[in-house]
Amino acid sequence: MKLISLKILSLFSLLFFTSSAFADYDRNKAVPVEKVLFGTVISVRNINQEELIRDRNNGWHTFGGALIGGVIGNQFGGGSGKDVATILGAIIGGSMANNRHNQPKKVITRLVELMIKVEGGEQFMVIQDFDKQMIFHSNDKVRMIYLANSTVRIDKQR
Amino acid sequence: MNKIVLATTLSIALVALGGCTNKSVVRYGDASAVETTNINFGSTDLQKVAGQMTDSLLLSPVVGTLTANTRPILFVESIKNKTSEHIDTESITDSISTKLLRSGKFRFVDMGRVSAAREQLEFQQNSGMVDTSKAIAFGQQVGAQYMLYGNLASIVKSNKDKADVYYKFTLRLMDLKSGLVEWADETEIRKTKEKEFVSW
Repeated sequence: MKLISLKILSLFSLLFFTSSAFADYDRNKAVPVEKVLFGTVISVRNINQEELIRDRNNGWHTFGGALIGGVIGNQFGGGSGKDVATILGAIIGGSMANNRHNQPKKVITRLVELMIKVEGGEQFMVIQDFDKQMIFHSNDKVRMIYLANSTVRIDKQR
Repeated sequence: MNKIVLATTLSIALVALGGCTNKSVVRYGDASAVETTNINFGSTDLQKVAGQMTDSLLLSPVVGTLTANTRPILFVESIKNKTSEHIDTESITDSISTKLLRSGKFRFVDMGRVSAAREQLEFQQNSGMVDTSKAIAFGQQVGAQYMLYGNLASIVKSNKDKADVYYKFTLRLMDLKSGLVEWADETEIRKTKEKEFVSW
């Protein structure tokens, strides 16, 4: 009986302390842009920070391999030309930084992995924060915006 | 006595607080009034861009020659948004095409409604509900002769006291048969935002 109560308590504390970290992008703000590429979404996959940690321990088998030669952009930094594993590490680093106090708090950072084919035929894999204001689907026409702060953001064309 | 004073004070306080309540008020405004809520692309910019481009196109001598004896058929390709903002560029092209149609000099084909038109023709041909002798047959539509297309780009500079946004809208008219660009024009918008120091 005592054990069951303890399990229920653990479950409740997990539910109570678990929070999802969303990052709604401010897409109506005029900020410097380096260039914009136009393309179509080939595939969409929702991932979270835990999956990234698991993949890091696995030697970046899934994400690192898929992202080689691609571009990755997110609010924590990164951008074209950087080492993929470093950037994925930065995502995790950024998420872990949210967990400042040593409380049993679990922050789940929701991310979206987008495979995009641009008009020139090149394909790019971009991981960015999940934004409930803009949900992506396959075949969506998108813009790949290279912002001046060395990050990349994907927006729907309409 | 004290109770009466307390009750009166509370009543006055409640009335005073009631007077401070925020109320949402809805009003109608002038749709063409200048909007300066923030520095981002807004309704005034859209109206300015669409108005200037339509005037420029209609007053162009080249277009005057093209439309002298006929009403050319245009198709509008989407405007490429090269800014950081999520701007509904279809709204800009809608305004431009509506103004051009109202001028009576051009006709348009709407590529955004091709599947809806196909669905209707299929219904007329295959549903068995429409008199086949009067149903519109496939393959009778006319194609566009010219394509209208363009770009919207921005340059943004800012520091802690000032922000400057420069928009450049380019529009071109291409002859689909020859591939020649028959007309092109661009319009610019510059918006600045500065901190104002109020003194009295």
